[in-house]
Amino acid sequence: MTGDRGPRNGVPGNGAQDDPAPVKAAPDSHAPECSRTRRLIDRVVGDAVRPDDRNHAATCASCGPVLARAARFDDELRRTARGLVAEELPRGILDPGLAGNPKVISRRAGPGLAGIFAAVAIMVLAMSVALLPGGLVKPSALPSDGPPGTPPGQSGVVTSPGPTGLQLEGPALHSTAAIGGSLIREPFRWTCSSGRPPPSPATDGGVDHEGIVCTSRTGQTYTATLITGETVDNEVIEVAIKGELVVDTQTSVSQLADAMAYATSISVGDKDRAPTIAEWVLFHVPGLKALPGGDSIFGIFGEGTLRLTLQRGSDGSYFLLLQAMPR
Amino acid sequence: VWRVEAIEPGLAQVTRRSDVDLDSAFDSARPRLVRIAASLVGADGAEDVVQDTYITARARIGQLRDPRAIEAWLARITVHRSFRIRRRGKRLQELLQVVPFARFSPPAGGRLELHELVEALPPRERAVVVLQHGYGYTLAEVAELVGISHANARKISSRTRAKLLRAWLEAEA
Repeated sequence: MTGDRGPRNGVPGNGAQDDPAPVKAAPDSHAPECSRTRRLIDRVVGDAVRPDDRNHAATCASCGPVLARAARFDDELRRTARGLVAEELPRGILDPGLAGNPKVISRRAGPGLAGIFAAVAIMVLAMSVALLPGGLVKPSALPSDGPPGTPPGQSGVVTSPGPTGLQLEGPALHSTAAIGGSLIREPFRWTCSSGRPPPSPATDGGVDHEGIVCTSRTGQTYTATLITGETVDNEVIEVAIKGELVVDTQTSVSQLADAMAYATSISVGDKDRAPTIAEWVLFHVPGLKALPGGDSIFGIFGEGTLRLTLQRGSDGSYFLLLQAMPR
Repeated sequence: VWRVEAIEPGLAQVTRRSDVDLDSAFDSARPRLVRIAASLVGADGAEDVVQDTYITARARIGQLRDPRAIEAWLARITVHRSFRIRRRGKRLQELLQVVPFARFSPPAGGRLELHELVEALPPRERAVVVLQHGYGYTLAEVAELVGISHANARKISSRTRAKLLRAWLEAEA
């Protein structure tokens, strides 16, 4: 397949003499104008340069440089791409005997039958919470053992999780409706709106679209945003939270940690385990440093069915990703 | 700085394999893996890729046939994950810009050079460009490394090349 190595020349070959189209030299020699330049670019990109284009370009101050530049493109691309290589790949990376199966983490394409029933049940419950005044679920049913509406970290909300075994009970993450419904309530009162499709649909296994986008109230010592990522079946398999401090003080870090822990506790599906997982967030957020290379920590729960990535970037911003992995 | 916490004892069993010390191997390979990922997806996404690599390696350690080839195996996972990374932070960053107190400021503009165009490519397109043109792999090899069909690799390669060529020419025109 060496024919694939190295690109084609984007400028096709010779042409006969033809129509030298009108060429206007612009007042500024750096900005010549020609009505044919755009079409010439289209044809260069489409690998369809005609002989008359070439003849015209030979005398046109605008089109001539386009062809000259196009002829240099492949060399420039190789040079540029080579310049981005910071590390050679180890020898043997293409060895077919390297591993049994190079395909690694793959999210489920869709839930199993039990998952569908569970999702339907949760949707029905979530809709009833959203539609009925006061809702069916009392705040105390949320993964918080503190007073109603009290976020973790403010009053010992994170209590002993109770032994439930390593497996998470129920879905790893709540539905978008349940997460949004909790976030808009006291004490945090975030604002939520519908999400949107990702820039390139179905670029990664699993997440098909955003479910909801919620942002924290203004006037806090931090700003935070939460996005749920859903499958085509509207199952939440990813919750991403980003936070930035308005001022970098211990108090603002602590308040942001509270908010991120609370968002975690209302996102995790297993209500018995949610406090433990939220406590992990609450504990680690203040310890992250804005180092040049960033500062990251992983947590894995439920025998790997829920994984958390907590990071602080070099710019000081915080990022938390909750991902439901296949069981 | 990189830390991993196995929160629950059950997880330790996943990585246990008598002939491989994954954590040590990963620790020593990590700087190299970060540089490989940075080559393929840029510095911003490199950490995400390497984290994915670690998780994947933990889950799949049983598939490693030759423990002596663990670094190549980790590098291969890194390449594979580079092609699949989604820049989740980007969307959130975008949203934070529209809420008060956002601190993000875009870099000052100027004439686009080819390296800027390549660096601005979506991760999978950039990964294919760098593997093919930077590392010099054939499209069949690129396809093998990132786990897609040859036809798909060819399609991504030609589409990306056309996109870059157009942008580069238009920047000049």
